[in-house]
Amino acid sequence: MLIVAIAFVVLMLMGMPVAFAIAISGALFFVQHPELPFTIPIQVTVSQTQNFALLAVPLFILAGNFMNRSGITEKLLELASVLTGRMKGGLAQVSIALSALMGGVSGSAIADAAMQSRMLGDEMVKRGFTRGFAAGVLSFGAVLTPIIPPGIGMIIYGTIGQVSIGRLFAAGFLPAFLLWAALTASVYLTARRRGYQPERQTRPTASEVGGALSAGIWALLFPIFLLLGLRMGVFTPSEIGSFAVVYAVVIGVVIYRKLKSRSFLEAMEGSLADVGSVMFLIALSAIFSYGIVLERIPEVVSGWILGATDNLYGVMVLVALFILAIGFFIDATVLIIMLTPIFLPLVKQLGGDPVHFGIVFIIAATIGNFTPPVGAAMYAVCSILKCPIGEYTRESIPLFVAVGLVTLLLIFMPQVVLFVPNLIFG
Amino acid sequence: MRAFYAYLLKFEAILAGTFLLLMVGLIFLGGVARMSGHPLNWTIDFATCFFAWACFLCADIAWRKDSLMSIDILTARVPERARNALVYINYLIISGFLVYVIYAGLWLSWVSRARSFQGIPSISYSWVTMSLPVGAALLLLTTALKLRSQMRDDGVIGTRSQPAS
Repeated sequence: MLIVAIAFVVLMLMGMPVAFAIAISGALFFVQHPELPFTIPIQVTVSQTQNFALLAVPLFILAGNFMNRSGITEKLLELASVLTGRMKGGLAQVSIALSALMGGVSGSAIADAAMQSRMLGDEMVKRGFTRGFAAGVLSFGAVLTPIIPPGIGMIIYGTIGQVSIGRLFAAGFLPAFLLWAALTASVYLTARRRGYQPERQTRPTASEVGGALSAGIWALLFPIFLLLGLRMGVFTPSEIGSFAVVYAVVIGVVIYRKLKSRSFLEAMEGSLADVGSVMFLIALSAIFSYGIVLERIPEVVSGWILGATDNLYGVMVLVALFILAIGFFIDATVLIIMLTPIFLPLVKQLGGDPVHFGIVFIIAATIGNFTPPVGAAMYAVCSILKCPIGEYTRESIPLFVAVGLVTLLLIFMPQVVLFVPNLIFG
Repeated sequence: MRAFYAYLLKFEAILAGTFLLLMVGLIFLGGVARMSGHPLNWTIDFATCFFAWACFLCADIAWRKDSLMSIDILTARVPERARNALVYINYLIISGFLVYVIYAGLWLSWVSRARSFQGIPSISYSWVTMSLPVGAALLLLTTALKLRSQMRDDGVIGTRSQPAS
């Protein structure tokens, strides 16, 4: 298994797509064990796609892409601007609020960061924000997206770890609120120091707020519908995913009337590549996991960590730091696929709650999307804003600190994470 | 040849998109049917079968569009010659792996043809297994074309309009 791990790192450093690197290094395990049938890698890869729960992943990707073209984004931008435009830091605050609102529609931090950069990036620079600060806000704001339902990361974690996806969805709300508050405070402090002005001078009138709310209501209700459906227990996450697609198309065609046959095809085309890149990775990772399970790697790693501490919170802090450190180099989806089977049993063994750990895990893994050297959201935002990585890094340190502090706080306060799921699911 | 390839790409995209939409439809139908007290088990079986095909067809589409995730932390920092060499090595290793997947996948589909699909006894599970070798064959074709275009960029082989002298 050591050879497999080394091969994985080497292949990845060679610039090979991670999906292939996982599969090829994982296949080496079978070369080392000629007694195993040579068809097992094929079997496990195909059987990944026969997992009914994972069907939810492509369905929510489709739903997100349809939502983005349904005209809902513009309505949410309006709402975000009415709600937060008077705060110091203007458009930066609007951008973070928009991430929170968009979180209920789309499930991917990278997609959210890229889309917002195209919508708001130039405007922010025009208003006098430095490029680095604007890029940092656009990128880090997207930390909210994966933990507000629906989140692709939550579905993958829930499927691999046998954790209720409904509870995970419900658990995201309060942590998302805390993250939003921390990011807002951080932006406020920077804005006050530098004199960034609010976006609007006057307090929004009640009718303005009401108008913007009702325009965006279909997007705001979406995560609530999802939770209701899961709560009633009549629907599986995959069924909810198919309803989400239908809901997005109906809204786009009937209510906002932005989804025409051309944008429908564009959304389909984009979804094909998105589904391919995520699902191919998940399917092939089964080859790698086979060796991990057979060689009892989770037990070995647990042994190491338990050697350092057997306090649940201590272990969670260690694991979160480990995920954060690896996350600087490896994408969040890959981390969730590869590390859930290793760390979740350990946390459970110490009496930790799988939903609580899942939320901490997903946030810690997502942070790597926003940090150098390998942050997919960072690259997307910086290339759209033409911002040098060095400047981005300097300017986004306060945001990094804000998100890091909230993550630490969440580790020690499971009741904050579990409040909403316990309320809804009992 | 070129026309055939263009046709193949279009067919692949239409097929993958159709499978995805069929999945949506089937699962939606299954949910509604269960809610109204007439559960339909076959919807899930067909949906997961389409899922396998959609996955691997979409994987090829993603590979062709270069949207599979990769890390350029090291490759962006080495000299161009080394970077090019790495690209070739990657393509060759990937091709080797895909050849194995095609061979083992076809073999598995053949020997397990008697195994029937979960809820639909009259259909062989090989219909699902076949999605992987077929997807791998398309991925291999894509990899070969990437290799060819990289060789053209590097001037190793000539382009059609400008034959190598």
